[in-house]
Amino acid sequence: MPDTTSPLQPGGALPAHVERCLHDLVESAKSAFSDSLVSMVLFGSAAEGQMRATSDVNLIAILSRFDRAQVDRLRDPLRLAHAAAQVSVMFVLEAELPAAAEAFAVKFADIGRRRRVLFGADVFASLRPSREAQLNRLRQVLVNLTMRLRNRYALVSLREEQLALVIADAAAPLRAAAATLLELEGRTAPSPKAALVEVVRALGFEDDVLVSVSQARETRALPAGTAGQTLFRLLELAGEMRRRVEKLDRDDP
Amino acid sequence: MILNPFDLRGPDFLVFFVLLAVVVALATVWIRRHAESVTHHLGGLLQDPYDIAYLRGGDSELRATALVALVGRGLLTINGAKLKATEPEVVDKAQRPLDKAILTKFLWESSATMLFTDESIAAQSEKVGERLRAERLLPDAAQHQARVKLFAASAGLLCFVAGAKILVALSRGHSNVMFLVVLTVMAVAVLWMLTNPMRTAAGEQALERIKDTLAALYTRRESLALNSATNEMTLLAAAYGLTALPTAMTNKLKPVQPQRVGNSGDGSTWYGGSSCSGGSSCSGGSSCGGGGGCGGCGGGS
Repeated sequence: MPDTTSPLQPGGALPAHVERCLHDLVESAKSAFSDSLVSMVLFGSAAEGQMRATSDVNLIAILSRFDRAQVDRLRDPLRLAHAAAQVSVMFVLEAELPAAAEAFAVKFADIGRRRRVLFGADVFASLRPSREAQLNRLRQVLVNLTMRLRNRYALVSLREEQLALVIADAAAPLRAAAATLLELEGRTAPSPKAALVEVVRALGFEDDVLVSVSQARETRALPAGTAGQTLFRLLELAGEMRRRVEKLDRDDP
Repeated sequence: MILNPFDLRGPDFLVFFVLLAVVVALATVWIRRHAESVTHHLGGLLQDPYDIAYLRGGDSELRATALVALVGRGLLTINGAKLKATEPEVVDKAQRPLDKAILTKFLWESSATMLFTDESIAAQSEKVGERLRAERLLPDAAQHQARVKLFAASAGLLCFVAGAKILVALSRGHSNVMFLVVLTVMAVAVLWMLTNPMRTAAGEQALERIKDTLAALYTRRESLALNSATNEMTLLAAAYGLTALPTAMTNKLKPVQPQRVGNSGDGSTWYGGSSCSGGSSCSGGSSCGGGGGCGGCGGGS
């Protein structure tokens, strides 16, 4: 197995403790899985160097087999990394990759756009979910988000401060959906955040909804009286995005 | 002309002696740290919260951390100043020998002080210490021997210089040597402390590294859930001590919290009370308390 590890340079875009955690975890994974470890890939905001204090650090470990004895050796290092830097690892078998990419097309399309190979081969270089899968999953994500936002509004909006957290958590799926939507329309954006800006503007929404989303993500709080309104704007936005997906689906040959 | 220090007058010689003691102390520390440091990668050397707790504060901090872990998992319940395993089956759920020993001890409700005095728990705790000594994060027998030799050499040098000066002074009819004797005893005591810290230099490095790694966890400690599926609370207690725990956990442990009699400066939280005290083997008091998902493609994508 060629080691194409991307060296984690001290003083890079990630905080030092995150760099150290990733380095240690990759070393532990190499030791635990040995030849079963095909690659480890960092994805999401950490891969872009756009982490905030509250961001998770998302990794995907591609394995040739999920052997219990090997996984057991990774438990302590993984728990340490999770505690230290909120590291989350998705374990996928190499043989499952095409199916996983189809089933979770928006996430895998996002990994395709934003990733950093920490160890092993770059299996995502040639892995692209099908257009049909991306359309289906995009629809699913937006419907799911819509239902979840409605549920959370009904349940927690009497405590407005909690609504800000709901809005903050909606940003990631909305951004990933926007990036996939643009890609399916034949356009690209430099980042999922930029993609959402473009989609919001194209749909005729004011920028203030994006300002509120960013504020909620960064501070986990919103000014009094604005969270409910923002959430309903997001519901409208998700609905409009879904209509664009339906249109794409109809226009496809 | 080279000045013979033994010809110096009393106060001047004391200044010389203090400077010599400082130089010897610095050299001793440098030699010890150089001999005990590691040059290989420290990552992965310290990942287990129980190892971290023992390395930081010894046996008592380990037991405190185990208490946090077991209470946090719901395997051990607090009832006043007493502890009890939630149910007999929890002994089988615990995987670590130390956890099993603690849960077995508290199958019947008992005073929390037992956690710090029971021999079967001590035996399991000592195994963690042995592991750390094997990794040379705590001094093993060879390192201990090297420390004794280093101490003997440095203390011997100071004693030789002080003794020679005393003989010279006495031969010249001066008898006011008491201050030099006291100074020598103090210097030797300081040398003993400098050559015999609890951890090796590698242990210090590893502990500092793990504390740096967990700094963000410390920052977000108040947001930790009491019944978290992972071991964040335990790691927090292990690396920083009970004082670092979030308020909710501190309140939960309050009934079995021992009296605090001192602070070791490294976040140690304990110890004191009626039966025994000290950072190395046991702590008593009214009782004790202690400092101790991912994956999937669901959600919005």
